[in-house]
Amino acid sequence: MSKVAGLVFKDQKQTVYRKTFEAPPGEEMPPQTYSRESNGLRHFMGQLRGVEGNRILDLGGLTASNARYWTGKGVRVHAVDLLQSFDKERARLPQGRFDDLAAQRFVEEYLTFQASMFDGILVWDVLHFLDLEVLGYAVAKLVEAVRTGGVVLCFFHSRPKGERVPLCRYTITARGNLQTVVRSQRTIPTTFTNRNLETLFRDFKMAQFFLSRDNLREVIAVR
Amino acid sequence: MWGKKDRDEMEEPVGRPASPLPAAQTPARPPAAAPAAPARAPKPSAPSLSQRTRIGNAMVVRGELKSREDIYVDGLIEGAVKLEQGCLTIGTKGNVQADVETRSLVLLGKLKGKVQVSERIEIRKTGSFEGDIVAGNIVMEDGAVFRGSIDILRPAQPQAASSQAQPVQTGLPSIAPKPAAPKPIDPKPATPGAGVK
Repeated sequence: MSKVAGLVFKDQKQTVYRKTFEAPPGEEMPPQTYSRESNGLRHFMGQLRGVEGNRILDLGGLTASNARYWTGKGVRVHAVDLLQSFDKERARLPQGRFDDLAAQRFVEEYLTFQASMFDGILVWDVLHFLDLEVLGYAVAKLVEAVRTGGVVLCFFHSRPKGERVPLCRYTITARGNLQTVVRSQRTIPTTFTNRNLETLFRDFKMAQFFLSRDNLREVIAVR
Repeated sequence: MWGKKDRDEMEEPVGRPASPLPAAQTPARPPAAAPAAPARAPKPSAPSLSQRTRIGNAMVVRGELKSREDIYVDGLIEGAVKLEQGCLTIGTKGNVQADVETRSLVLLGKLKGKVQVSERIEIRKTGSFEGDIVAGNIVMEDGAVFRGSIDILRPAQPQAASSQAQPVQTGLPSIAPKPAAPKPIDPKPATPGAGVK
């Protein structure tokens, strides 16, 4: 049985308990859902005051619920499933890993937008699973794509490198509240310290970190 | 002519109400005497073959395709597709690289282009979309590939309707009734007896 890093849940009575996902080797885990508060999302929305007419980029594979949530507020949503595209492109590479040239090509193809096009970018935990060669170029593209004063929301797992963590799809249910659907598991390729994250987002005007109970570090970066 | 496999594929659900008549021929509803039933989404069903055109997987269409019928695509279309009242279903083998205008759309295959759907678009888990969508409603299954932007058509605001009802100045003499002249103030006191010595 493969074990996944434990998640901390809060039930309706606000009792905190821990749950470990297990799935037989080689089998997909059945989707599991839980609800969580997100300070990062709350700040993200706070930064988007007067959301009507804003543009949002969702890099985590847009869900219909998120599309409805944003479009219901008059926000135009753009979406790229970056991790899915990353996996597909990497599978095509002969060495199974991005080199510098391949990383540049990938980022040019999937993350090229008009300059300052977006008011906010929802990255979720996608950046954590990219190869380091791709990561730097990807963040540089995010800096270009978000307007001055715009905001980027990222999640980074605080578990050490090599551990398996649930790969989730995040659905916004309310301001500052996320419905998290665990889709599968994935190995953490890199450990990020706060210093690493500060360096990664150094081109932003400000980066703020929130450590949540489910071993996720939420990062809000304001350009 | 239709093999069993083909027939099965033709029975992919499409977002069209199961009404045998076109909207114009549908008999008018009785007056709302009975209490209104809770609103139910129209159950998708496959229209009969005669109402639906099929573009098979060996077919390639280049140019503008216009139709009032529903279309099921398993082949390749490049150009533009305009279905005023119909539903476009792109099957798992279908590949459409075109700007699409339609009433409703079900995507099981690939679609690349600008899409304008007045009612509802469904992107199933096998579906892959790249482009811009403007739609009344969107349903996306987990696993569907989406790359592009979404704008949802918002229902017209009631304020807009009321603003349309405002009178427009035409330059013609006004036929509106003139406001009544103010009544002269009655010099008599309101209460009988008041002011009587």
